[in-house]
Amino acid sequence: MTREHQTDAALDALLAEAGSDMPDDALMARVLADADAVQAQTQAVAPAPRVALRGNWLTAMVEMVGGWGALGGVTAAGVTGLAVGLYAPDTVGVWIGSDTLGQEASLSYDLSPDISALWLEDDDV
Amino acid sequence: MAGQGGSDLDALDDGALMVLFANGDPGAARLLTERLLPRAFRHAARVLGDRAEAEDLAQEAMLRLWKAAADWRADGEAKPATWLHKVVANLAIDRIRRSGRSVELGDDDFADAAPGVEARLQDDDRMGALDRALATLPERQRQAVVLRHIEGLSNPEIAEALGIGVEAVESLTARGKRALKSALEGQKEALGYDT
Repeated sequence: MTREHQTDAALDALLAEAGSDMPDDALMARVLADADAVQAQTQAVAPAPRVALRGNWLTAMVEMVGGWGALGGVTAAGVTGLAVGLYAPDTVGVWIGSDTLGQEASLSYDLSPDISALWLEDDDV
Repeated sequence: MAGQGGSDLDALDDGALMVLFANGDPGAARLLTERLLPRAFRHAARVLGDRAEAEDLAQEAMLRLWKAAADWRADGEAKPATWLHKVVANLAIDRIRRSGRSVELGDDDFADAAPGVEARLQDDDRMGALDRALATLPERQRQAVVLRHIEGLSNPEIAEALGIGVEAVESLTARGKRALKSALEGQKEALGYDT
């Protein structure tokens, strides 16, 4: 092998060796710490993710109102309101007939619907 | 957000990993670091000839990469590796010029500088010898040689990284390697052979 070829081969070997030069672990750790910081900053300013409407329409609706727990609360409140609407007016008559409002007992109104006819047959239960 | 499994990410190219990184995947950050940091470090080390300074520059270049991830398009033409080499090249030139150690030789001036370089190479280790020889090359020629013969970039990729034409890259790499060989000629210890 001539000296020219030896030089070429040696230079190629030296360049290949330079191509395998690696940074140390400390630099790798610093770069990953930078990556973590940038990711944390990016995630902090990102808009809140939209509720994904996945699964069937019922699941999607439930997720939109906050899940099954929230839906149970809404249902309970609705049932309570209905019960109050049906039966609480009885108490209005009590208040009107009492001295609380200073009215005569004859002004008492029966605001509750009489639904006993629904379960009476020939005046028998 | 939990990262995806390593085997899943390994199959993805760097552009896709950039998008995953922007979405908060820590696995993407680690894989991109493993793939790209060595490139940035070697590029900086060979151009600057100073390992500690190269580490600082590589970290700065990677930080810019992380910050660019939010706007990265996975289907875009830019490759993260080429983009990173471009950043390293510009940062390295800035540092060299700021420090005042730029030796902006003309391409034909190298022969005059070589003898002095040869004398300094005698007692250096192999990488040190290479760095000193590279340091005698003009900036762009040095960068082109490093990117072509050490990092293995294609001529169009080097052209993009250095902001020059492909023909200029061909000329720079050819003349650069000849100059490098000339600088190392006779450096038996550096080149690892006896005559």
